[in-house]
Amino acid sequence: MDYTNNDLKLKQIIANVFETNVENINEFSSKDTLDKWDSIHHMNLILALEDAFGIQLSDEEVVQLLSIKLIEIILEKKGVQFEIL
Amino acid sequence: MVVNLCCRNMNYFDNLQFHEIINRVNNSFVDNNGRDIKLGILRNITVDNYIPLIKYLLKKENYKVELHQGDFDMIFQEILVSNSSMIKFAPEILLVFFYIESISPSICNRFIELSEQELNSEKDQLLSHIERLFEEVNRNFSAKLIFHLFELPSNPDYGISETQNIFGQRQIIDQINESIIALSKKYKDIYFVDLNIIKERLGIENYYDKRYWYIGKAPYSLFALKEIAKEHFKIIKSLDGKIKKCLVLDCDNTLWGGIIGEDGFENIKIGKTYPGNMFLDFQRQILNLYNKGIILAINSKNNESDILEVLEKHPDMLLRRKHFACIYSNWDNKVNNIKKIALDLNLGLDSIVFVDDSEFECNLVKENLKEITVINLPKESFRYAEIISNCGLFDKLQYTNEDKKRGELYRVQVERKKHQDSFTDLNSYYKSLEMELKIELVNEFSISRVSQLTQRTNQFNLTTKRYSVDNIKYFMKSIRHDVLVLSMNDKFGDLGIVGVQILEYEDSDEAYIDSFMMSCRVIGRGVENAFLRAGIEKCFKKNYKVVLASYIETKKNNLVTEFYSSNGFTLISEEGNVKTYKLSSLDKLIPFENNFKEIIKIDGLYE
Repeated sequence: MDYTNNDLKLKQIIANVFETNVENINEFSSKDTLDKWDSIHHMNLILALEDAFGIQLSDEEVVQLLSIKLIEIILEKKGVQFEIL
Repeated sequence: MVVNLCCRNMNYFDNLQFHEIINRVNNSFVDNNGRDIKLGILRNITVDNYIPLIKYLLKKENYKVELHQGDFDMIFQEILVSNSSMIKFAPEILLVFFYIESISPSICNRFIELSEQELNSEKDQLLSHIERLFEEVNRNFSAKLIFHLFELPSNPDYGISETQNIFGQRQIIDQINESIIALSKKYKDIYFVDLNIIKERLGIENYYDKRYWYIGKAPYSLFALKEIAKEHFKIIKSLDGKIKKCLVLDCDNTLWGGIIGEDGFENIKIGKTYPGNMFLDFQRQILNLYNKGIILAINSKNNESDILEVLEKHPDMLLRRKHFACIYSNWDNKVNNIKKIALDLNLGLDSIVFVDDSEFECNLVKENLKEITVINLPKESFRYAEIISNCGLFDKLQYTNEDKKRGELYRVQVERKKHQDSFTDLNSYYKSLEMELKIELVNEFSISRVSQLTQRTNQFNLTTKRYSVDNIKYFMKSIRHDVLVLSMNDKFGDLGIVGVQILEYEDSDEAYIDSFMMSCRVIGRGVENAFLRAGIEKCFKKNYKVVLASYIETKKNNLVTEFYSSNGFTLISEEGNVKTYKLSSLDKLIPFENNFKEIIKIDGLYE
């Protein structure tokens, strides 16, 4: 798959992991807006993010990543650059 | 960042990232038309992130997957309680993720506190648990069980003293694993995966994911889960008879370094010293496959005489002329050569693996022959041997004596074909073969080959029912069944066991041909008709009045659509892909063309 930028890539990952279309993902997407975002799918999200961006998250970060905004904040600290969603 | 060492060779997951795998599993493969497979998972850990991986591998192989996961840490409830969700689900394959740290925390975490006596009783208790599990699965399921051997601690509690101690932690778990394998022999259809091998391949840093162990009882990393899924997939494919049978090899820069046509006989790189030793090791792996029953063939752009000279005369070659069933060394394109190889060996394209160092040739073959598995060797020749040993394409659960002879059998088969081309009249050709048939009931020595034939045979197979060794043992003991085995030889040599038919006797006056199959090595010699008669005669001698038989159509067995009708059976019903036939007297069976030198029916067959 070709991703034009990391924002789109992130949206695509979230859409794939939570089994929805990328059109349904926006800057406000979070555990509260996505039905499938339970603890099991959360684990898939973590593995998918690490796999796709080549990063490793700490246990503390793992439990914090509960919205797209939080994901971006933490990923930016790891050197993944985002434009504005 | 960790590198996925294991997956770099055979890319089972097609370089996809985890989210892409999840997406494919959910959205692609909708028009799969392969067979249904029901997979049950029992676990005392969290394995939800394993699920998309195994689904991906199976769906890619065209299976329609149905998967049910038992509740967390409810292994025994799921197999014991008669209305449990797993018993209701009735899986065909039952995977057990039995994590030792969860079942026996004392061996894993309190090892130092335990006395020798306490340890032994802990060990016995654990083993009796496992035995109970095997017993109940055998009793309450008709599933094949895949069980993981327990993982040895990589940092044993006693540290350096562990190795000095007779009752070391690793030793105890090792002993438990050995005992598990030993006690499994009392039960049927149990297969093992040794996770320690995977752990060793990946290294523990890449194997465990301690974060999720603490957060959610999920011990394995994504890499480990991929490798575990691969192992399961290999077992499932092997149980289903989906194994590769033939390896087609390029020569220049594949079997040896350099180009024979340009560098010459003396200068190609093959031998005990660098760089020839990389190719020698590669040949050694290929020879291992040959000895395990994989047919070898050559497909090379060269003058045939150059290739034969190397195979016959080069002092350092390990692979010789006799190891190759056929050799296509010419200037034709490699696609055509592979088609000819498939034809010569009477093999389906989907059972062939093609290996070449040239990306161009690999792509050409891939594009034109979609069913073929292609391995494109990398620039680094030092990886060649590992690529073959780690590809998993030829893995089987059991090897038979037939496997050791198979390479030779196929080579002779190609000679037979050449001999056939010199005849214009088929019957005189058959007579010239001096075929001798031997028909007998299955016995201790033939069980594994019989099971293997049910699993390998796709083309000349009327019902394509796959049977394990245990199934065949059951038929052997059952008075309601007879398993007839056909072996033969001709003037070119011994062909071994080439046909199996399984007869089932009903309480009424009907007998039923449950299975009838012939090895592709002997298709088209009229042998099948003689073999069928032997089975039918047996049924009528046993005083059954009617013999029923069915043809279950698959994608691969069109060859035998007319088998029963051409032998005098009458079609009595047709439902979906199943046609049922009947034969109400021996007289109605069409006599076969007797081109055989001899047909021996071993004593006991007609008792």
